[in-house]
Amino acid sequence: MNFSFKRTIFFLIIAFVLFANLAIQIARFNSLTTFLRGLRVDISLVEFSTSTTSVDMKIRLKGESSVMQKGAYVSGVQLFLKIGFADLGYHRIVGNGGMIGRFKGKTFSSIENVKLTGYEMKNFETNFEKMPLRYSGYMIIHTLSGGHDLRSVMPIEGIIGREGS
Amino acid sequence: MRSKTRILLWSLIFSVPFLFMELSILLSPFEFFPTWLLYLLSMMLGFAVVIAVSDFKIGAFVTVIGAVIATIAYFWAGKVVLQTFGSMPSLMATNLTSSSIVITASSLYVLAVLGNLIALLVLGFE
Repeated sequence: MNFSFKRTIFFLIIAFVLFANLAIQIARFNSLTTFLRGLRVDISLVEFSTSTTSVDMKIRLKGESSVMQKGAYVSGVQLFLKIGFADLGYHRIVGNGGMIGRFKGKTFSSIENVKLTGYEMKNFETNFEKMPLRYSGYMIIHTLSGGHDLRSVMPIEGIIGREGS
Repeated sequence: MRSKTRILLWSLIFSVPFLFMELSILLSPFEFFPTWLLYLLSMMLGFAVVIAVSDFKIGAFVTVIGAVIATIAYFWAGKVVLQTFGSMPSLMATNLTSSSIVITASSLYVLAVLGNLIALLVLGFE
């Protein structure tokens, strides 16, 4: 039997449909990895108030990526705070209803409260003027692609800048 | 063209879309087509390959050999992709997918054979 192009058309169409499907998936995979790779997180101290039992800090969480990602949001941040070498404890920020905020365009910004009590407060008050505030921890980022909510955990680390000083 | 060359050539052609299907399942968190549609397309691919070679026996052979070639290529491609871009959890997941792809590939293959058989029934090739 001889080769005929007419009979292979059906096969070629299916092969092309499968190729297009795979190409879309690879593009989605690629956009997620470039989004996470280009993401820079910045945390700064907006203000703080001291009372007899605790220190209430208001911190600004900022994320900025080099590319846009559809349906990206932050569901939680876990912070290990330090001032100089003194421990300021472990703080978990979950926001309202398991979500801190969504990315608007390429950026994400939110102001959250952190409460320091006991020895954390003591460490904060003795070292606040001289030592830089450091943080390390994780940021939990979700992206929506297809019918899935993909959760990525990103390690973050840095110095908390002080706004207006 | 001699029959052996024809089978080998068509197997290589068949293995390409079959590999696309397997890689689609590997990247299923980013899925565009749902999985059931991929299985349906696998059946249609088995149907189409019998039409393309216009012989049921050759079509069935092509399906087996093509599926085997695609699965071997999948092992290679899947490991390269995940070990280049993957972190430790995804590397561990590679080992899981390596074993589960055997199940996935056989399901896809079984549906492709079903497509072959439907082609045999519908078109009645010798």
